[in-house]
Amino acid sequence: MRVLFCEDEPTVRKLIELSMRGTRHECRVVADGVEALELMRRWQPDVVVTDVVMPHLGGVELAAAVRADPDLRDVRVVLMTASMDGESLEGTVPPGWLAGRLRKPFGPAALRDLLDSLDPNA
Amino acid sequence: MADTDTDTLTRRVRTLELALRETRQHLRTVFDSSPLGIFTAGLDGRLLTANPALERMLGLEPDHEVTRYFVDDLVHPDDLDAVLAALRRLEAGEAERLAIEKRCRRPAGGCFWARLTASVVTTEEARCFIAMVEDIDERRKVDAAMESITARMESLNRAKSALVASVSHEFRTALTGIQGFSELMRDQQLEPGEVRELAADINSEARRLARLIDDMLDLDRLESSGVPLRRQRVDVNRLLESTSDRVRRNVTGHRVELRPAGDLPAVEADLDRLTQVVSNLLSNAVKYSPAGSLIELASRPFEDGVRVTVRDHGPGIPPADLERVFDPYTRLEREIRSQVAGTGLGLAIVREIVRMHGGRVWAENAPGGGAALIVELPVSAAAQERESDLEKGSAGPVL
Repeated sequence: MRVLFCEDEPTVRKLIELSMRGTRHECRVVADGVEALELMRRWQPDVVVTDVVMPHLGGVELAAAVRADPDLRDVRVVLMTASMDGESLEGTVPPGWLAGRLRKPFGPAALRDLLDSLDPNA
Repeated sequence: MADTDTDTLTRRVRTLELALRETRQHLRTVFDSSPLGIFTAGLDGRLLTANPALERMLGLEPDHEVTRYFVDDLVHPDDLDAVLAALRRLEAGEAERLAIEKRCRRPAGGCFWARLTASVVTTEEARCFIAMVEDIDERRKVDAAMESITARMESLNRAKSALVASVSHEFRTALTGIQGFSELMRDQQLEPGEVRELAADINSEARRLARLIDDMLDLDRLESSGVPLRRQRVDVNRLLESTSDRVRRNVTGHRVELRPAGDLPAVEADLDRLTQVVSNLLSNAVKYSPAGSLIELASRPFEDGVRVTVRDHGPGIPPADLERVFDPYTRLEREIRSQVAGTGLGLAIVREIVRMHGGRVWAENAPGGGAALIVELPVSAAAQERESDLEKGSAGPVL
């Protein structure tokens, strides 16, 4: 699968890059929602795994932009949540928008398991 | 027979007159002794009668001629339109009774909140208004105090939620590094160099958590005034020099340029706390400006105090955030945008320490770009305490 990660925290970005090393997935990591949206249009990932609180364009807004774009209709969105935002998202994200949710803190195994669960070829 | 009838009739009339007098007397007693103010007024608004309770409320002498007043004279100007409109509705028969809370005006000056209940009655002579007035000033004050307390509680509750969200976010982010990197070390074959690098990352994240806890506890102690200041005469220029040396040794490559004033008076201050102020301001400048850029650290005297300015050459502060950068646990766009880890409490700690010294701190966007954080401190401890007292709203000692 093509997986795009969007995370503004350098520590978490590094963890993602190391965790995905050696997996069968093709991965890209960006630091910002706007950058993620641009790359998605060019690169057409299968899954985007995004942080919620980010500059310029947050994870929820990114998910909304994906839903609104006919060219990105098939991209599945996973949110990485920290703080209480996991709970407060309930009212803001319509059901069916998200393919999954990854709660921080997480380790490499949880990340790989999540992607395997979304991979039709797994 | 005719005489007997006449006598009987006379007795009956006297009995009725007596009964009428008693009824009038009874009503008069009720009218005079009612704790509520009662008045009648013509449809033109002129007062016809007023009981002693109303006279007391309005500050009128007992023998005051109430008929010289109109309702207009006794209602606060800001509330007059509403009261007159309500009376017109009564007069037109659109309402049977009105009950409103408005301010009454005393002819001799002053006003009070009152609950006014009125209706229109028809007497033998004419139609008129009859109204009862209850002084609710005390209740309104209690209500206002309760509203203020409720607003404060809601504000504290929001601050608490922001704190929980912010702290939780910081902890979960740092823990993601600690948990994730340690899992990698446990489960994967890594080069020795990679192991050392991940161990360093884990160490760095653990230290970040420790800093967060230290800052939270420090801010809590400062805010609850649990920290006494150990004042001494402080040479601010020397303090700026020694603190800026630490930044120069930092890895970010920022250049710190000192611009000390030559004639700067010493300040009676807690040296450690003032060092913390300058250090936090410099850390903030480092955090929000590009690596290798210039940070200017200037001092100059002002009135009976000293002003310190830390200016960076970063993107500046969005105008909407200028007032809020010193608020703790407030996630701002610039905070999120920053790629340098921090607890987000440094400037809140600065504000508390400066406040304890009777000074003030604020943020500006410098002409030509970048942000400037400016601290002003009174020179003497006495002036600091006076400023601090004034800030608290109490009169300080006269010097």
